[in-house]
Amino acid sequence: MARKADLRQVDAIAREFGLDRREFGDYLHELKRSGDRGSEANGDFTTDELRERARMLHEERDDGGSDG
Amino acid sequence: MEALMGDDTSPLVQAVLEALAGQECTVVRDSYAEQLVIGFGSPSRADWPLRSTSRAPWLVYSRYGGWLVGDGDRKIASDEKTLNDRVLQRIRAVLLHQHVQQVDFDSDAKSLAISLENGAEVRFGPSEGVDETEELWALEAPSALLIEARLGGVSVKRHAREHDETGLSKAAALHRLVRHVAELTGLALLEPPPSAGQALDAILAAPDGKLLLVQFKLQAEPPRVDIRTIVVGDEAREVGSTELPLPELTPATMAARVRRILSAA
Repeated sequence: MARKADLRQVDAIAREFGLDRREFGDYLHELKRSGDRGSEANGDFTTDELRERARMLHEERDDGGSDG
Repeated sequence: MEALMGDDTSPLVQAVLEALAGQECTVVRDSYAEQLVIGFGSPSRADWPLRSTSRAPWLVYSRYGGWLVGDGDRKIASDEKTLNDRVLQRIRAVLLHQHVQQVDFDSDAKSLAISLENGAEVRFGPSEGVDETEELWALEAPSALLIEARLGGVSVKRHAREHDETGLSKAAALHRLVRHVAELTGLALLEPPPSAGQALDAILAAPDGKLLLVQFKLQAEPPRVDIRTIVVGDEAREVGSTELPLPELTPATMAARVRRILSAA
């Protein structure tokens, strides 16, 4: 259930920033694997940390993609 | 984006899934929140700014649903246990490089079963605690088609994941990268002359007359950035060149390399 809660949180932030939800999940997963770990248990990101990463991804995208 | 919803999608879903038969399994990986991701067809790297994520023309995400991988005789792995590297290796051992023999979509159960030539099978379907709006699984198919199965129905739509359909999005992202590097290094960013065509994407100019000619080689494996260093005196002469692998590059790391190139020139 914790996995689903994590995914819900990620999806909510992706929608907030107009990002593709699967792509945002992949992006966060890459960050975690490269050592950019959040302050939650298991290195998961807090809501504020997710927003910060969403901004990072969004800035590097042309139009932020769309929710798919 | 317009989406088709409800029972009417079944024939379309079946038609799309039929095209999956015969494809080779080329990607087995995970994504955030322990999603299992299985890809079929020629593998590729995800678009910038993602750096190392594998993609394929057919890509199934387990999303909120349950999944199970079997080798034909027994269960190899499922969502009941933690998806870690060890489990991924077990799944890779039975799925990778096998061709899809059969695809079964159950429109009532909203489940998807993909059988492979060696008898292995991967199933995606319902799971406890998922509401009607959450995807049980999502399948990205060629031509940017996206099938999403929910307890409330199955939708088929086109998605915007293929940012490089026109190349404009990728070009904008790369241009932003160079602009960011220019800001970090204090260099002037100059537009290349139109006559340079695709041979030159950007020019970074230092106050002492050194120029860095930047060219993105996106078709290279791995994609890279070529930087040629030009010293402009009475005449311009090339004094060095550097290749930087794009997947590992961030504005900060590229800026650090640029500083080193300039100090060495």
